[in-house]
Parts: sequence; C-alpha cells; structure tokens
Amino acid sequence: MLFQFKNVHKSFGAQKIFRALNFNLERGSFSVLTGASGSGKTTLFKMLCAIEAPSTGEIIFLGKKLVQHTPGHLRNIGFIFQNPRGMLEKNIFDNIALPLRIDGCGENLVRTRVFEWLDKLALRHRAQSLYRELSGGEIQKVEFARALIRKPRLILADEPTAHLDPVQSDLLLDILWEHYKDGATVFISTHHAPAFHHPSILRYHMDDYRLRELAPEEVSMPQFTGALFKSAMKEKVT
Amino acid sequence: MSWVHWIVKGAGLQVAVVLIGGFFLFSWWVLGNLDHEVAKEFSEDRISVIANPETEFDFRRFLESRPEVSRYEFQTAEANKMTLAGLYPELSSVLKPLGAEFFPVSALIQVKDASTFLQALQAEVQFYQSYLVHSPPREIQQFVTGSAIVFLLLWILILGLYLFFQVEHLAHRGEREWSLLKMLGAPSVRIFWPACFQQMARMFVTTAFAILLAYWGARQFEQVFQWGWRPEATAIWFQFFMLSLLMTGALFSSFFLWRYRQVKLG
Repeated sequence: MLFQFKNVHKSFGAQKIFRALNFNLERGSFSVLTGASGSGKTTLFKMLCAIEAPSTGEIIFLGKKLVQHTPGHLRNIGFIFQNPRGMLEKNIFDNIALPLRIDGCGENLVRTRVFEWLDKLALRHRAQSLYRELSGGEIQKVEFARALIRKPRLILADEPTAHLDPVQSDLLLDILWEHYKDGATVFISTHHAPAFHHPSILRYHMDDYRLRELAPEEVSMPQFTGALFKSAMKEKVT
Repeated sequence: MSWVHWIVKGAGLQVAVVLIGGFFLFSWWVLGNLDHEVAKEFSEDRISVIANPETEFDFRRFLESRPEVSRYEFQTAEANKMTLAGLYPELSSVLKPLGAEFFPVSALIQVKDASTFLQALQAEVQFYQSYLVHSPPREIQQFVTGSAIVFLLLWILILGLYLFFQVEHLAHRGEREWSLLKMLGAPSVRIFWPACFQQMARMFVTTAFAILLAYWGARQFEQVFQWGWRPEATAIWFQFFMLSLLMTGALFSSFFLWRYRQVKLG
C-alpha cells in the first residue's frame, strides 16, 4: 500500500472539499480520477505530496503518517501541473535538466537523458528555445519531460492533456503507460469523461465530497488510440 | 518604471550604509584618539588640598597609603610662605617675620577616583580645604562613545533594511522559480548561496567605500584641528570588514529563510 487515507476531512474555511474520505492507493497501479472542476482533484494530489494537510484524519504513506512535505518525499514524485510552471527565461534544455541538476547528476548524464526526452517528444530542434516562446502543446511536453526525467516512483498528473489535441494526448499518455509498465504508480486526474479503458486501470470518481471507485460496468468502452496502449490491449486479448 | 524605482531605493539604502558606516568608523577613530592621545594628559582627576601643618606627617603617610593616588606634589608651610611672598611682593614685609607655623601645608594630588579619595581624606586627615582642580573630559568621551554606538546601531538597522528589501526583490522576481525548485525537492541552499554571495560581494564594495569615506573625513578633521592625531588602525578596518560580512550573512540568511518558507508549492 503506497497511500492510505483514513477518514480524511478537508475544508478551506467554510468550503468543504472532502468528508470522511477513505481511500487506498496501491503501489504500481494506474489510476484515473474524474470529477467536476472544483471537486477537489488538485487538493487530493496536493495532499499526496503533503503540500496540503488534512483538516482531520490522517494520511499514511508507506506505513508512516505523512505530516509535512520534505525534499526527499517530493523528489520521489513526478508532478505534472495543470498550469505550466517552467522557468520562463530558461531554455527547454535547462528546464528539463533541472531535476537532474538538483540531484547533482553529472553534465554528461544530464545531456544524454535530456536529449533522449527531447527526441522522444520531437523537441530536439527546440532545445535552445526559451520556455516563454513555446506553444501550449510544447509547454505541456516540457512539463512532462521535467516531471518524468527522474523516473519517479509516483507520477501525479493533474489534467495533463487538457489543452492538447488527440495525437499529442495519446503520445503523452503512452509515456505515462510506459512508466506504469516500468513499475511506477500513475495517478491521473481529469474532468473529461475518460475516452479509453484497460482492465488494469483503476477508475475513481469524485463527487459529494467523497471518492468512489467506479465499477467495470460504469466504464466506457476502450477508444484509446495510443500505440503502446493498443499493443497492451492486443496482449490482453491474445 | 518599477526597476528605476527599485534602483533608486536600493542605491539610496546602499549609500546610507556607506555614510553611516563611514560615520561609525570616523567616531571610532576620534574616540580612540581621545582615549590614547588627547585625554592621556588629563585622564585623571587633580585635587588641591590645604591642610594643618601639624598634620604634615599624617598627611604624607595618608597620601603614600592611598591606592587611588597616582602622584602628588607636596608644599611645606615654609614653601607656601615663600610662594605667597613671591605672589604678593607688597606684603613681603608682613609675611617674612611670620613663622612657618602660621602657614598651611598643601598638596596637588593626581588621583584615579576623586570621590573615593575625598571621602577617605575627610575621615582621616584634618584639612582646611580641598577642591577639584581638574576633571578629565569625560563628557566628550561619553559623547563620542555614544555617537559611535548610535552610528553602529544605525548602520546595522540600515544594513538590515537594505538586505530585507533585497530579499523581497529577489523573492518577487524569482517566486515562480523558487516554487518550482521547492516542488522538485531542491534544498534551499541551491538558491541561497548564489544570492548570499552576491549580497556579500556588494557589501564588500560598500564597506570599502565606507572605509574610504572615514579615511577622507579623518584627513579633513586633522587639517581643521591640528593635534597629535594617531592614524587609523588597519586592524579596525579589517574587523569592520569582517563584521560587515558576518552581519550581511546572518541578516540575509534570516530574511531569506523566512521568505523562502512563505513561497507556496504547487
């Protein structure tokens, strides 16, 4: 068990977000969280990072009570933000390389890993472009690369494909799926109804201040077109 | 034009650090001179005592025994008679026939602590009169010491204000980056050290200007008041440099940590 929410209540002043939330996040799972805007998806992710604390109740992380975020805890989480957070005056290379430089990696390793990601995202030609010069899609790719370049064990993606076309969305979801296959725990939030399904994917829905796991019959048919996802489906069928 | 406003505000405070630092060093120099040169000659109280000639032996023994007496000049009754006759020649015909027993003995005594000495004198020796001839310029010393302390405190205050606004400026400009770095689990030293070194480098230059100002001020002062001024001790400059850098480091790190904690994640 990676995270356990035990009777968690959360409110901001008079505004209630969660009421008696009990929820377990398994290690190595791929979960999708849906819910209307303002239902508390981002707050839940912040609580997983220990940026927000529960008003009452407790969150258990790997058997220990999660009290306050620490640099060590945050370094194990790849957080893909709903809104871009990159350094505007730095180029793409430096933005993607930042986590590795924080970890004290050598410049050779940094270059190799960053160029791998730039190739994967078809951004090599933009390596020296400033972050503020990028299009919305390119920014989202850079956000992905920066969050995942450390190969984190927990990936929290808050509306990761909200501003992307279907092709770009599939590319980024493929990357998340790849990390899930490598053993990472992936948790995606979205307010759109999910357009894909796989038996391994856990589905949650948030409303009425609670989190509910969706039953298989509540899940729409698979429509996801990503290449890795397709092959995974094929494996499952055969 | 917020950056122009910032430069003017930042430069204004930096100039204030130079001026106040310069005034502090200048006051320190004047104080040092007062302690070692000007006040050396008059650093102790001088008391004149007129006593009964019959108590001469006891008086001398008393002066020898008191620890606060640095030195004394003793005048016998005969010597006093001659001094008076010399001062008033028209009375010499009256004074000369008088015996020495009609004249008092006296002493000009240099003491470290006048009040203690006078208390002991009253208790032990029969004397006619005593009065304080000279007291060292303690008010001037107190004034200069007070000035040095006030300038030092002002300098620390201005330095603190300057560094506070610097941290605010850095936080305002780099809040997005700080938030991202925190989110990525970066230790605060990653931002702190470059910013701290920058401030220390600025303060190094500022302190050098303050020392130059104090040096120039001292030369001007020497020209106006021609005395045996001692040159500034380079050790004081070095200590001021160290104090300046230490204070910068201490204040900047306090302000930075306080501000860095306020930056929100996510």
